[in-house]
Parts: sequence; structure tokens; C-alpha cells
Amino acid sequence: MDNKPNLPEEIGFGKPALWGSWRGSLKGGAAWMFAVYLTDIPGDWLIKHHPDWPLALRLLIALLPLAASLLYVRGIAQWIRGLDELHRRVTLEAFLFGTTLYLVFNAGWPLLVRAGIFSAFNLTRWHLNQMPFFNCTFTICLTYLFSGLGYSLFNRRFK
Amino acid sequence: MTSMLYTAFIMSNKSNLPEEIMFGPSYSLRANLKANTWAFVAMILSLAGDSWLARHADWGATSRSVIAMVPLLVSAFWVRDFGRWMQGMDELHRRLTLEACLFATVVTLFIVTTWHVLDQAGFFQAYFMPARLHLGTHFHTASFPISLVLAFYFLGYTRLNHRYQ
Amino acid sequence: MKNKLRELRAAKEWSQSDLADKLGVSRQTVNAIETEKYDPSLPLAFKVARLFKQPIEEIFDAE
Repeated sequence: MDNKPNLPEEIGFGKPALWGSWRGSLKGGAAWMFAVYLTDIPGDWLIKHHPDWPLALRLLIALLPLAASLLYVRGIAQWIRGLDELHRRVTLEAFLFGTTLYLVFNAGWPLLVRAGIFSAFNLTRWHLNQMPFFNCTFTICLTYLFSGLGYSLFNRRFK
Repeated sequence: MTSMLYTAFIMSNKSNLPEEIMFGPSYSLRANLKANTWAFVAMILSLAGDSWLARHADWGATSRSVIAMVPLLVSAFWVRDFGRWMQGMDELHRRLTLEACLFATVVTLFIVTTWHVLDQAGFFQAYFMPARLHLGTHFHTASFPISLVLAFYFLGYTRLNHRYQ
Repeated sequence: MKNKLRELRAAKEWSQSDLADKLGVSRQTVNAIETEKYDPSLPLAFKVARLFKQPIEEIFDAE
């Protein structure tokens, strides 16, 4: 019955004034995204504070957020298929920009840490030398942020 | 004469083919170098820089940071050249390549995150440390994500292209 | 999208490569359009229409 294409505003891209309700974002796999957040940080805490637990249990706790992330990516992919052609193109370019930028950040930050720049310039406050935190929450949040930035940049062509 | 000029025009206007950078009957070293030279340079610089940094821990933080960051800056040239090469493709190939690149970056992100998660959970220590492979530390170079992206790009493109065979 | 590209090409006795060269695309794109697995962009559809000297609606059918 509903043949309307999905809109990028449903997942928080584009103008904030046009962002839809949280129900709209469920179409884009947001439920799985929250599942990642709920399993990731507590799981991380559990693993750090219980190193004596059996390896199988620690692995299960560690891999739960990854499984939720896979389902989240599948949700986003299905949502992208429901976009109209212009939005699909801009959104794909935005996600490519976001993931590439995050990979660069991911590869570059530990290089700087190993080179000792944070200690040398006394930048160890706020755990800067322990970033990127390499957990699913941080990955999803930062990739999302970069993709949103990419969306704003690439969408300008069509304004 | 006119048909020769027309043929020459057509030949020089041929679009880039994604198969030119994949090993197979259409492989072209020239095309591969056009698209990926900076990727190979970045990987070599990354491995060399990593080994250099390990042996010169006494160098100043600024010089060490420059050596550490050079492969990433070079990777920016790779992204630029690859983007230009993509722009020379026809519309179908450009769309397939864009989707393959997205597949490659997402899978690489996933693997890098999984790698660290397994490391944190103690998987590598339990099973591989006795073999002294130190697998948990290998993702801290630029060459690791670059190799993964390239490998999954080829895999992704082959899979996506299957629809149009 | 249904289209008559194959018939129009056959009438001119052009191979898929010949048509691809004239349109400035790859042979794979021509094949994908003919087998209705890929819808061409508007500029490409116009190029096809101009090449065969027919209106777009005669060549492509969105039904």
C-alpha cells in the first residue's frame, strides 16, 4: 500500500528540521544499532573485569555486538534499496566517504600513538592515546558521523 | 580518412574497465598502475616505516609521527587516482565499482573491529601466542587495511558483476 | 525495462561491441540493457534514441 520511497532524513541525514520520528529510523535497522550499544559497552566491561572467565564465554560476550552489527548493516542495506535513485546514489557515496574516512582514522591514530606524539605533547588526557576504541559502538558512531558529513557535502550538488 | 580519425577518436575515448585491474584476460598493467600505484607505495612505505620506527625508538616524537603518517598521506593520492579512474568508466561499471568499494570498506571495518575484539577477549593469546605470531598487533600498520580493502574490492566486484553476466 | 535494442542493433548488423563503441559505453552495459537487467541513464537513453533516429518511447517501454 505504501509505495513512498524511504528518505535519508529517516536515519538522520540531511536537514535536522526534517528528521523524522524514531519509528522511521527503525526502518534503517536502528533497533539493531541499539542492540549493539546495549551489548557492546557492558560486554567490554565484563571482559575487562572478569579475565578469569572461560575463553568461550568471553568470546561469546565479545562477538554478540558484532553479530548485532551485521544485522544492522543488513537493515541499512535493505533501507537503501527503498530509496529513490538520486538519494540512493548520494547515500552510497556518503557511506563510502564515511567508511573510508573512518578507516583512515582507524589506521592513522594508532600510528600516532606508536610514534609517541600524545605522550610527547602531553595529550594523554581524556584517553586520547587509547583511541580509537575499536569497539562496535565507537565504530558505528564515528562512521555514522562521517557519513552524515559526506551526505551534506555530496547533496550540495543537487541543491 | 574520416573513418580512421573516427576510429582513433573512439579508441582514445574508450571507457576504463574494472577488469583491467583484476588478474584475468583483460588485465592491464598500465591501468592497474594508473589506479593503484599509490596504494602499493603506501603499503611499502608502511612496512618500511614500521620497521624503521621499531629500530629508532630514540628519535623525536615529531619525526616519528611524520614517518608514521606518510603512508596515510600517500593513501590520499591513491583515493584520488582511484576516483579519477572510476570517473573514466561507463555508468554501469561506475555503479558496480562504487558498490564494490563500499562492500570492501565495510567488510574491512568489520574485520578490523573483530580482530581487536578477539584480541581483547584473549583469543590470540590463548591460541597463537605460543607460536609467537603476535597476530594481535598486526593491524596497526597502514598496509593491513589497504590489503584488505583491495582484496575485498576484487571479491565484491566479482560477486556484484555476476548479476550482469 | 523492456526495450527493442537487440532488434534495432540486429537490423543494422552491428555487434554489441560496435554499438558500445558508438554509444561510448562498454559491451557489458549494452548486454545488460538488452537483457533488461539494467536501466540506462537518461543521457544514455537519449544517445540510443539519437543513434537509431527513433523517439525514446519507441525504444524503451517502462510497462
